[in-house]
Amino acid sequence: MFRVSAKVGAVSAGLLFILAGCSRSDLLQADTPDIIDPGSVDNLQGAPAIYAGAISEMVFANTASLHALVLYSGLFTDELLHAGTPPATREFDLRDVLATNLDAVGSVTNPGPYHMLHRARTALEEGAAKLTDLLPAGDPRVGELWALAGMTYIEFGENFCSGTPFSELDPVVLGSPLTTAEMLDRGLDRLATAAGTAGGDASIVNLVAVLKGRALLDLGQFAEAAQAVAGVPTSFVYQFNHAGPPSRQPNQVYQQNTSDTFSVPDREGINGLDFASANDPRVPVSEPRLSRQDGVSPQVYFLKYTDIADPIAMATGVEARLIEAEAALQANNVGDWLMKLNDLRTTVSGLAPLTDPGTTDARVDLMFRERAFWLYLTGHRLGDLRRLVRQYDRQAEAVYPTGAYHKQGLTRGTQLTLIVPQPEQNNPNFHASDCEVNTP
Amino acid sequence: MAVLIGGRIVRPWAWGLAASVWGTAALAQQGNISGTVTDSATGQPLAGARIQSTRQAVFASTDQQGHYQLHGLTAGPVTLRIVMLGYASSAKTVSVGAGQTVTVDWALNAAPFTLEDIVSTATGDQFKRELGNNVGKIETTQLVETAPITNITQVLTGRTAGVSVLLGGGTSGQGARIRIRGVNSVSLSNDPLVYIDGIRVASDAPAGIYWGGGRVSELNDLNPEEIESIEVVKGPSAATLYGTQAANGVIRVTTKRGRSGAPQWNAWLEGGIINDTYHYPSEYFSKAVGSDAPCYPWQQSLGQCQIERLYTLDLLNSPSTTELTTGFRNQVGASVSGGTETLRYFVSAESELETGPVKLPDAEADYLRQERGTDDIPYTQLRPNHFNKYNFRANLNASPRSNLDLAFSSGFVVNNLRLPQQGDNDISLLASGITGSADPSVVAVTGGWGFGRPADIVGRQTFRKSDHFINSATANWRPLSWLSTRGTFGIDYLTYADEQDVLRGQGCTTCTIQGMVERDGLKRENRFFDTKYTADLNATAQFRLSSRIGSKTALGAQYNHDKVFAVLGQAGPMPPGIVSLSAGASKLLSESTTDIVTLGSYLEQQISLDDRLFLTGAVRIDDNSAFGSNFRSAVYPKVSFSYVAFESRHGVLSNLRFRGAYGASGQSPGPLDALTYYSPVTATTFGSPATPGVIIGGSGDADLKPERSREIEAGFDAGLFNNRVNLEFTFYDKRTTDALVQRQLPQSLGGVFQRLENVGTVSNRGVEISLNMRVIDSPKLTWDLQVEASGNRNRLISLGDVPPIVGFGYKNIPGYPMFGLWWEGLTGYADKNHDGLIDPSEVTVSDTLIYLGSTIPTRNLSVNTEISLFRNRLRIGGQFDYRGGYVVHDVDQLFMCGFQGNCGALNDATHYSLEEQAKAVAGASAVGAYAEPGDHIRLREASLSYTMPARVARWFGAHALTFNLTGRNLLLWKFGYKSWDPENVTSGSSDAAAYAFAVQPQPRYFIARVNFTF
Repeated sequence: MFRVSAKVGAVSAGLLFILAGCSRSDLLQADTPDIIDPGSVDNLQGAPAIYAGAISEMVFANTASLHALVLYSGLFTDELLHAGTPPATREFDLRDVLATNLDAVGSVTNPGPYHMLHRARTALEEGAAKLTDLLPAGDPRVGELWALAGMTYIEFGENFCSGTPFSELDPVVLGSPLTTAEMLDRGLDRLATAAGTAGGDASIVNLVAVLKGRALLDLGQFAEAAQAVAGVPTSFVYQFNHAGPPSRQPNQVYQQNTSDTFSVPDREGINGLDFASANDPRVPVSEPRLSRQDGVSPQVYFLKYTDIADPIAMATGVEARLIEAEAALQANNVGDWLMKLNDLRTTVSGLAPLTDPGTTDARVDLMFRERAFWLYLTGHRLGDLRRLVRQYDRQAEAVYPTGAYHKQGLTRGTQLTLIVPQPEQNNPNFHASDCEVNTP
Repeated sequence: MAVLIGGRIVRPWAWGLAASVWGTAALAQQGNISGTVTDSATGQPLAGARIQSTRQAVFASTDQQGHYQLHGLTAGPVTLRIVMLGYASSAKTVSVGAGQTVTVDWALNAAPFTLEDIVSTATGDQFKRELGNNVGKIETTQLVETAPITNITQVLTGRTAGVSVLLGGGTSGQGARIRIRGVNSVSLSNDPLVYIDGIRVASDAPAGIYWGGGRVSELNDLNPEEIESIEVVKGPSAATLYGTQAANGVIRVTTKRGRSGAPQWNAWLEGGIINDTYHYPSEYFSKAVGSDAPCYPWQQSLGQCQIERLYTLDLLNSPSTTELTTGFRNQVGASVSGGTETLRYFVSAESELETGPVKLPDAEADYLRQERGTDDIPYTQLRPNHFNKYNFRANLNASPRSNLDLAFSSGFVVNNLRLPQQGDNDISLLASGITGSADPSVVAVTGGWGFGRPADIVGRQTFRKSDHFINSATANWRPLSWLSTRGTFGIDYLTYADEQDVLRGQGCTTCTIQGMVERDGLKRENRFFDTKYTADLNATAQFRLSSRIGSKTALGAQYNHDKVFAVLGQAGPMPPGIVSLSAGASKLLSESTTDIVTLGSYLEQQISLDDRLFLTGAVRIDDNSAFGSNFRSAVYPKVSFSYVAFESRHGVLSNLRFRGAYGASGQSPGPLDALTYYSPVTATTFGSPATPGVIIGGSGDADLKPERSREIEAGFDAGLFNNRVNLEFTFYDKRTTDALVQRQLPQSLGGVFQRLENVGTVSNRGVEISLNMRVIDSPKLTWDLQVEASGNRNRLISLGDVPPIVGFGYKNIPGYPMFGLWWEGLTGYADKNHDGLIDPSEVTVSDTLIYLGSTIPTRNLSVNTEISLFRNRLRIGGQFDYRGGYVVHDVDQLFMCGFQGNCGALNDATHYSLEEQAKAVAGASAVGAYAEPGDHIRLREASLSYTMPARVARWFGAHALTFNLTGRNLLLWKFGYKSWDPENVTSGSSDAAAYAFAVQPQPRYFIARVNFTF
């Protein structure tokens, strides 16, 4: 049955090799069904996906990721206490964060707050640029993305050190460090673009106004800040939306608190506010218990959020009034200042009216206390502590949590800002010393 | 496939044609040889001896009557070489006339060891004497009958120098990391390739669901009873012809084959118990007067507080709260082999089950009965670690013509594995004890358990259910006397479901998984379909250039296609009484595909002189679907020599062979690493909780190419004292260049976290010594000793311009071993105030990360021994296994002292040394205080085997009956490690994050086994 001549055998063997070699491209074909060719979304049909992706990156960076900025900025201040165990997370609570800190550096699946905020920034800027080409003029989504891009610069300016670099992805341009004021100025630039592309949408116009007021406040331009937010109604709310599965945007502020990773502190590190014991309806909390994670920290739950789908208000008319109140205080218009604060307090039942504490320092304390309670866990507190040092001449160690840590016999550090993590040192235009973590 | 040589494109078919033309001149008439092989001392026929022509690819094995036949031999002088385990090899030259059949009989002399052997290589079976490399070979048949072997990992442990089996943990069903000659790759896998009967198979299926860090090894799917031998191709110089992806070495598994003759049945039955024998630390709480806070003795000494009382708890040791108990295992199986000259078969089946030594603590079971209002706690929760495995194998060998051999190999494995929550896991059973508290107020609420109480933890049940189907077909066709061809085709099909089930009202009280609250009922089911296709074609032309010079030319092509498709599902919350994806009110669904194709071809030329000197040169050229678009083909060269200085001499030095080799191999990047792309996300925008979005997914490097490992290996094999001692010495120097390194990109770019780039260089140097001795050799007593020793010096030479890579506790920095341990460390301590206590002011710690040691053993030494008494009737064996030159990060103690503050060294300090106190107080700020030497010796195996008298066997209708008593992990000697098991590491398949936290240690096995031969 196998009557094959020797020559035929040799030729057959040769043919097998020819077959193996002649259809290289077909044989090397591999499936990649899980990824998207960038060219396939740069069209009108892809515009909603670009918009949604950019919004999602912003929410993820701020409130929906394990290393969300609101959490780590809160941990760095007196807004949150570390009730878990990983040393990397604890370093934020201690204000003693190395550039190599694993939470700061992040990972592929859990980027750090610095990386996430840059991801959001580039997604928003590139998304806005693409939508400008793809959508009809006046579509407010373009303005919204520019406004949120502006917000990322403000958040960098408030939370990260002076000397934070900014690069561009497409095409790749490795950037140089910016000072705090330069970051805020860039934010104002983006907000100016947003104002021009909001299409008259009231929600986006108000968002731009609140963010502009916030940036100007950070720059110490109090009157201009008040002017910027003057038209924003107190009822205005721009919120970051969350949802449970299948969304990638759960409310991590809720989730990390209920899982005992973070706790609401009380007078953390001598200077901290009494968030846990003030019995203030703006910061509703539970009775303390022992953290189930580290077994030693008092665990207090923030009861404002009760579900992972709860939205978080990130820019509000309340903030606009607080900006106006601070501008009034700066102008030494104490009556107007107190009136604005008390008008806001009437919107929440159970808040008694404030009285003038009588001294400038006490008024400033009260102003920032009101901001702290109104804006609790929205990413404002670190910027405020820095402003207290920078604009109100307070000593850092009289403002930030300081002294002995509540566990493990440790002592807090002296950093005033979040650090630029180590991977940025792959940028030849940035050096670790550029990041001034001890400058407010 | 085309190759640029000297500026001209040369295609493989041209090579084949050249070989054909070259060989045509040697065409000649053919003859045959047949004969019988017997034991020279007893005259008994020997089955399984292999006779092979040294000048042609013609070979045969003896049947059960010792007969063999060789066909298609070129007329003229023919040199045959015979090889059989336990007998001295020899060679004979006879003259064969055209059309004649010549009889050649062999009477073999028993010899403990021999330099000669046949080794499977990429080009086919070769005599070991021809190879320039050291290839480790483990014959498994006798091993599994007498030693406490339950899986392949255990076969590989301590039996081949240069192979490190890093066990990790002792959970039943858990696999191990296998590293051969160190770690090569910074960012890719360091696992070797695994071939079974010539085809590439899945050895490390990715975990779909986290259960604590250990890996489930698919390599252990194979039943050791089915395996004839395992060969370890150790480095790139030997693995060149396996091409891209073979840089970490190759493990070749050959399953058993039928031998012609009457059916021979083997059956085995074993049962055993599994014990955890470790003593775990107690939990302490030194309560302060007037406060719920702790007050440690050093604090009291400094006047900071006053101790009211010291409370202790012993969660992991106390009979009512311990999670550790006696496990058990049993195994029953049978095989049959036989057939005719033209068709032979081997069929086997086995059932194996094992229940690990973990349980729900009795007190927690009572708690659960109370909580649920029922006495009916599912057994799967009472005993959360278990597996049932069923193996089936059918191998057929056919020889329809004298010049054609066909081999079919088919194995099927069903494995149902139940895994406990263990290891670095916020609901780990052991961690809940380690993080427990003796504080009476905590004990009153949680029973004292830490992270989660076991009653809740066992509510999350994790399973892996896998079906593994391994099929290969090989045809060996010798169309011409000088030309042999081989084609191997196969499919390895592995499908597994990783499941996690939590009934409503059960499970972790604080856990939310991907946004779903576990306590509301949850189901996760990830189904993987892992298919590997192999096609391997080879043609070898072998002929004599003169009476002294032989030539062998091999040409081959390989196609490997690895595809893993996964569907990942999760659903919750559940209605009561059901756990099903269908029942969940909310569902998550996604899919994942990993697809990678390698096309390779090779040419190898060997020249031999007097069958003593063998010079080999080869080149392999690969294309791969994952290479960057700007990179075409990878070329891997190889040269080697082997010189048999002398052999079969009487005297001190009986045999001596020198060998050396240089070769290169590679590792391909992942399938998406060279691409730039978007990834889809489910976004939430105003008014739309789930809307499709896109974000940047990858920024690949279009220039990406495989990382390349080249190796120089040199050594010698020596037979001493009439082959009673066999010594093999090997030195290797391996250098990986263009190493693929995950460069962390400047994050201000706002793109992806990292991308692979060819920027690194890694060095591995080492020596390997294998010493086999028959210390005593008499008819009534023999004592064999096998020593396998190796040392490895691993260094990361360069990361290009990439900064050091820093992970959790490890750092890859040039000049140091890869994945070394780096933390702030304890640099000194002194009891300055002489109060017998160490307080934080009396310790000094480094304020930067310091190098604390390699996390991978750099020294391995195994001693295997067997003593046979009463003419081999009683055999006593054992294995001592030493690992050294590495550190283990004892995160168990770190957690207790540094983080939880519940350890004895803090709370009951006067009963601890100053060093232990110093570690405890420094631990919080200097995590590396708990880096401890991992050096240890373990009595890994001990066995007692007795072959019953024939009359006893006949009572059972058997020809032979053997009874074994074996033990595993019986004794452990530690040299500096304070916690329970220095082999414990949390990491799974990765070499990173090798620390020990809440990992179940290696348990002790006692197994009784009976083997029948019918």
